Amino acid sequence: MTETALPGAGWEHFQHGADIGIRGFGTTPAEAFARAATALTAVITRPEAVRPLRWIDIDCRAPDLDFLFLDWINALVYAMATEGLLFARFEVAIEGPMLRARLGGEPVDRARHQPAVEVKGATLTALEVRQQDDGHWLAQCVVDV
Amino acid sequence: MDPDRFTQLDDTTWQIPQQGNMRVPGILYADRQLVSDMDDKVWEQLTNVAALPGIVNAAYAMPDAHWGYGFPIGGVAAFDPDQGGVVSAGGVGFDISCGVRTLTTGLSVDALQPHRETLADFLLYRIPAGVGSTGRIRLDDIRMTAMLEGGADWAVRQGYGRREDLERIEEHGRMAGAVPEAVSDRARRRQRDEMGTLGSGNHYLEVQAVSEIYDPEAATAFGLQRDAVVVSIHCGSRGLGHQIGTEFLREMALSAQQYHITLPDRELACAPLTSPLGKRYLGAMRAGINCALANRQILTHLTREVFEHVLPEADPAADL
Repeated sequence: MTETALPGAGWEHFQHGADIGIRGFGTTPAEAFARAATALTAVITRPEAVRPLRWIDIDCRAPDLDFLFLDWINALVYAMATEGLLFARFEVAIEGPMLRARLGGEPVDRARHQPAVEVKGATLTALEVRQQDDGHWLAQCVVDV
Repeated sequence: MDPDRFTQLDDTTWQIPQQGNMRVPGILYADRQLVSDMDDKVWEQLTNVAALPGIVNAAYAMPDAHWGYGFPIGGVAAFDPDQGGVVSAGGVGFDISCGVRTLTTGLSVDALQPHRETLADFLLYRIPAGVGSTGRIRLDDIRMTAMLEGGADWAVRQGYGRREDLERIEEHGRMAGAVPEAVSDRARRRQRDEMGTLGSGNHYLEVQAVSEIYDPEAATAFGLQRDAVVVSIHCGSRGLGHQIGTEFLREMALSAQQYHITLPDRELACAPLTSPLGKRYLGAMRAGINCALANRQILTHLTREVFEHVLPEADPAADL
């Protein structure tokens, strides 16, 4: 973990042994997913240091919101690994079982981003997407680093 | 964890008696102090593993057991295919065949001392590590398939290392039963530029010194003496293994119901060993093992090249 969220940022990390949990909050599931994605970037580097210079599109389909979140995080991990990018902007739309997103980011610059760790994948541990009592949505899971 | 929660069988063996949905007991090997220092999650996870179909004798945990994903880290379980036994992608985890290889160098600490910084610089230059690093080896699909079938044996045939290395490597460097076709295009794509890279997290290449000998006979057999310099390489199947783990964890979690498996924890996602999914996973996982064996072999070769350049008198040889 390289960064702790500021209050009101809509995301945070939580501890799991040697690994790390990512958690996003939002008024909709899509917003919570986007903010959890910022938490994912923050495991690797300071999200503010990442510029949205390149945009790519991804989509996922899953039988429920939990697995849609798992697929979303894994799609980000895959895009980072294969494109050599870090992401800072997330435009997410969820319709039924489908998620479509545009990701804005830039190639890893090891001097400037000082990447801390490589994320291997999203786990099913603490995987949860739910509406809280205050009406806000929470999306979270532990990622293996 | 409170040791008194267990039934103590002897000084270092502790049992969780079979109860609830457990099919077998849980067995933990540790002394009282180690048990006291362990997370309560070890109990919970050992109990959950003991509930999986086809488990044989007991769910075991070693003295280093700690909170893992589904299984405790340091957990051991055997499953009988004829009794509905399962293989769990969650239990195997993302780091398929993560392991350590140690090379003796024939050097003493004193001989290395004047060259420490140069050696470190060359190792860093030659062996890519950390986020965003890529190797100098690019595998097209045909070579990728050959690597997934051949493991370290393939790497040696490509010129990375010596044939005698294979005598010192688990499975003689090649895991039988790999099915490269069970490895997805995405997993292959993730590995394309990662051969010969170390990764990040707890993975490392360290130049180490033998500081103390505990078992002289074993040390002699391995060619170790006090103040000897060795190189240890810790890594696994890199992005390919991570992607195999990711994909099969999802598929097994979603198909548990189809196989009438009730998962006490979703992370224990598994499939019967004899099912099409279980067989496909075993084939992909074995290919992942070969990827790890090949990668550690390539890293061994690159390490040797650096030593030959910086310290020509060294001979990073026998795998331990």
